[in-house]
Amino acid sequence: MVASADKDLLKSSHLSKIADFRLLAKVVVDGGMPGIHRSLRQGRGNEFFQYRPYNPGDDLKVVDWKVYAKREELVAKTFQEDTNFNLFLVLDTSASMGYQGANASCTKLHYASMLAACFAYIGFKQGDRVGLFAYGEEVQEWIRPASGHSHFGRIVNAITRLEASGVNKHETAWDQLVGNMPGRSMVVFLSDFLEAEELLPERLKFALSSRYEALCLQVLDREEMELPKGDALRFVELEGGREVSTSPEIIKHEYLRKMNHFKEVLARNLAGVSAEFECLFSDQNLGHALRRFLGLRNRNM
Amino acid sequence: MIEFGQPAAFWTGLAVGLPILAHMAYRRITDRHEFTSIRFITVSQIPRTGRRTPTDIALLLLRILLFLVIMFLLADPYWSSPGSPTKDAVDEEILIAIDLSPSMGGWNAMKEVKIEASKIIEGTDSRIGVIAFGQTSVLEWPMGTNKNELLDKVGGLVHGWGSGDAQVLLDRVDRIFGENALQKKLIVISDFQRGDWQSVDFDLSKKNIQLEVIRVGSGESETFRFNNQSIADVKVVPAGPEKVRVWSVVRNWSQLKKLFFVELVIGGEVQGRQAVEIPSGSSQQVQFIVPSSEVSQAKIRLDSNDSLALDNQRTVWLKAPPPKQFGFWQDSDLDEATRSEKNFLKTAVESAGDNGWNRWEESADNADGLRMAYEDSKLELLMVLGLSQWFTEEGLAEPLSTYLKSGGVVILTPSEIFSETASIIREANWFKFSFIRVAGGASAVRNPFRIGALEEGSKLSDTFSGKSARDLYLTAFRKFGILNGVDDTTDIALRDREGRPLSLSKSFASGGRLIFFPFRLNTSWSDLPLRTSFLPLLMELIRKENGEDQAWPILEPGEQFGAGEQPFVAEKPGVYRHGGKWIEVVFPSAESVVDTVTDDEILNRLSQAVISEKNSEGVDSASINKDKNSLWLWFAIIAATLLTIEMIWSRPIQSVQNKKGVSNA
Repeated sequence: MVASADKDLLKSSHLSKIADFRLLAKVVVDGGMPGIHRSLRQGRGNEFFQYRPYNPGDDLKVVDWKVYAKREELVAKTFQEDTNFNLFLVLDTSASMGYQGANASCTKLHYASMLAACFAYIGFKQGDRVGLFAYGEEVQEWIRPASGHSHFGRIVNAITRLEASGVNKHETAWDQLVGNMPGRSMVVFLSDFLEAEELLPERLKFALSSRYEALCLQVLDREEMELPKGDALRFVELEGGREVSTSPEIIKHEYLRKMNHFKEVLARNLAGVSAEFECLFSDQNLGHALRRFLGLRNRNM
Repeated sequence: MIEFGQPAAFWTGLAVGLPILAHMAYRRITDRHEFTSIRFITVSQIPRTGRRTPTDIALLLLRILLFLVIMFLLADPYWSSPGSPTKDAVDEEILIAIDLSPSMGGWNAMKEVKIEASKIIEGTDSRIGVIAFGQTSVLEWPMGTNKNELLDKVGGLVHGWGSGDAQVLLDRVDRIFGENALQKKLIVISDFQRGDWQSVDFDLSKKNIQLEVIRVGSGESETFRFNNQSIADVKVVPAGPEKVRVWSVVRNWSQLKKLFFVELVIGGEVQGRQAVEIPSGSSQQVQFIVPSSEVSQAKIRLDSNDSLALDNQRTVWLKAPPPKQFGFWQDSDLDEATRSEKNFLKTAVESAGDNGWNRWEESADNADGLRMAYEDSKLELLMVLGLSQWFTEEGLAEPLSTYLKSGGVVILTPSEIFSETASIIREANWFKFSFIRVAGGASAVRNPFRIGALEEGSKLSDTFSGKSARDLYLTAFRKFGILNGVDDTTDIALRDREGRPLSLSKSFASGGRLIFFPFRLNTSWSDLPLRTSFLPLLMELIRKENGEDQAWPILEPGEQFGAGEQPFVAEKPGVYRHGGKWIEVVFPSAESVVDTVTDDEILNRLSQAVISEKNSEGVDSASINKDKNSLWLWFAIIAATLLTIEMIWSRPIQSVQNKKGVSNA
C-alpha cells in the first residue's frame, strides 16, 4: 500500500499545478496514499461526525431522539473524538525559500507549502489539533492549534497566502514559538536551514522531552547541491544582496563537499537533541516526506 | 574632398582605441544569478571566453564606429573644394622683409642685405614687394613695384636707431600680400639678433605664407659675430668744488679678453684716455674727473676695432643733475625746541642723498618764496615746525594748500601748545581728528610710549625688518598728542602699542603729500631723531607715489618725453635741450647683444614646420586657395548620436527577482 504512493500523482511537478492546497491535500492523502492514516476515532468528541443505525447494547445517550420522534427509527449520533495531540507546522518563508532552480517545477516554499497542507489534512483527518507558524523576517502567519473542519480551512488559507520575502530571523521566530508551545506536540519544521546548523539544535532542546517530537524537513532545490550550470556567474544572495563572481564549473566539487559537510553537521546536531531530520529536494515526490511524517506521528499514538 | 587639420590624431586615436576595443571584444560577461546563499561559493578565475552573440557583435561594431567618428572629430576634418582661379589670380607673390634695427649697422650686415635683396629682385619673375622694419614698419614698397625702383630703394637703405621689433613686421605682413595670390612667400633678411626676435610669435601657416630666412651679419669666422665692445652706461656726478666725475661702464661682449682704450672727448679734444682690459663677457668701470667748464657736453668713446661701432660712443651733458631742494617754515622768534628740531631735520635730510643724482639741498630762499606765495619757487619738501599762532597770523594756510595741490610734500610738527596746532589743522581741513590730550611728560620719562607692530603689507613694514625694525620699535616717545576719530581718508603709518596714531599722512591727486607727526622731532618729546631708523622712516613717509628721478631724462630712440602739444621724440643718440630739460638719447643697450636666434627657433615660432610638411607632400600651389568648410560640427553631432545609442543599448537591464539578468559591458 505504501509502495503505491510512489506514483506520478505524488510528483511535485504535477502537484505544483494545483493551486488549491485543500484539493491538493485531498488528492495526495486520499488519492495518492489511500489508507495511510489511521481512521478517525469516533466517540464522545465535540464535533458531529455521522449517523449510524443504533445497535442494541449501545448507550442510549447516543440515540438521536429528535430523529426518532420524526421517523420512529433509532439512530445513533457519532462524534469525532479529539486525540488531544497537537501538530505544529513551522514554515520558513524567508527570501531564500523563494528560490526555483532552472529544472525545478516550483519554488522551495511552494513545495514546503504542499507538504504542510498535506500534513494538516492528515492531522485533520486523524482529529489532531493543527497549528501553523510561518515566519520570514517577521511572523507572517500564526494560527494556534485547534481541530475541526473549519480550522483546517483556516490553515489552508493561511498557507495559500504565504510569500517568500525578507531575511531569515530564525532565532527570534523560534524563541517566540518555543515560548508558546502547547503540551504534547509534534513540531514539523519546513525550511532550508541555511546557516542554521548551530542555531537550530540549540532552540530544539525541547524535543528531548518525551512530550514533544520534532521533525525537521530541509527543503532544498537541486541546484543548491549541484550549482547552476554556466561558465561564469555573478551570484547575488537573495538574503542580503552580497555578490560573488565565479565559475561554477571550477568550484563545483569544493562546493559539493562543503554542502555535504553542512548537512552532516546539521543532521548530527539535530540528532543530538532527538530531532528527526530529512533532506528533501523540491523536484522529489511527496510520498517520501509523507511516509516519514506518518511514521513519526504514529509512533506517538 | 575631406581633409584633416590634425591628421596625427588618427594615430593617437588608434593607439588608444584599439586596446580598448580588444578589451571590449573579449571581455568576459558574467550572468547575474540570484542564489539562496553564497556561503560556500568561492571566487575563482573566470575563463575569458568572448561572447559573440549577434547583439554583442552589433554593439561592438557600433562602438568601433563611435571610436572612428571621435578620431575623425579630433583630426579636425574639413571639406575643401578647389577654388576656381579668378581672372586676376597671380601665381606667386614675394615679400622681402629687411631688418633695419641698429644691430644691422654692424657686422657688415647692411651691405650683405643689399646684395641678397638685389639677387632676389633680379632673379624672380613673381610680383615682389619690400618692407623694411625696425622699431616700426618704417618703409614699404607694395607688391608689383617696378624692379628697378626696388633695386634703387634697397640700395639706399640705412639702418635705423630704434630698438628693433620683428613682431611689427609679422603683424603687418599679411596685409601686404594680395588676396588673389596663389602662393605667398616671405623672405626675411636679418641678423636675427636675439633682442629683436626673442619675443616673436606668429603663425604664418594660418595665412598660407611660406617663409624663407636669409641670415646676414654672421661672418665666416666663428668669432666674427661676438667681437663687440660697448659703452653700457655713463653718468656725470659732482666730484668736489668745480669738478665733475664722468663715470662709465664698459662691456666686452667678445669671447676673448680684450684690451682697448676709453677716451673722454670734450670740445673736440681728447681730455682723457684710459686703457682697459676686460675679460670675456664682463664689464668694467672707467672714471674721468674733469673741471666743470663752459663746455656743456662731452663724449665717451671706445678706441676699438669691434664689429658694431654704433655702441662705441655716448654723448653726455657735462653737468650733474640739480639737487632736490627743501626748506623750513617756522616762527621768526625761534625757540630752543624748534631750533633743535630744525637742526635735526636739516642734517637728516641733507644726509639722505648720495651726493650724486639724489642730493638734497636746503633752499631758504625758495622756502621764503613759497611763504610769500611766489609760484615760481621750487621746493621738493617743506617742513613746517612748531605749527601755532604765528602760522595763522601770517595767513600761511592758503599758500600751503596751494603748494600741496601743486604736488609739494609737507611735514607738520606741533608746537608746545598742542591744541593750537590741532585747531589750525582742523580749520584748514587738512586732517579730521579729535584731540584728546598730550600723553606723557616728565613723570613718564622712565616709562615711555613705544611704536606698535607695523601693519602687515604696509609701505613701512616692507622697509623695516630685522635690526632696523627693532631699532624703530625701541624708539621712546615721552610725549605725544593723543588723537581720536581720524577719518578714513587719512593714512596712519605709525601707531603706538595701544593703537594711537603717531603719524598722519594724506596723499593728494597732484602727487602732493602732507604728513603730520603729533609729537615734536626733538629729544624732549622723542628720541626718534637719534635713531638710525629715523632717516629711512622720514624718506619713506615723504616719498611720493609717482616721484620723478632727479637725474636727466635718458631716452632710447623712438621713446617720447613729456606730454602735451610738443613732446620730445628721441630719434638718434645724442644730447638735446627741450623745454628747459637736459635730455640724453642713448644707443639701445639691447642692440649691443651679440646673441642671435637660431633658424630652428625662428621656424618654430612662426609655425613654419607645418608649411614645410605640406609642401613636401606635393600640395600644388592652387590648393592653397581652397574653400574650406569645417566638418567638425557634423562629426560632433554624429559622435553624440552614436554615444547616446550606445548608452541606451548597453544600459544595465533591471533585474527581476528570481529571474536571471545579464550584466552588460
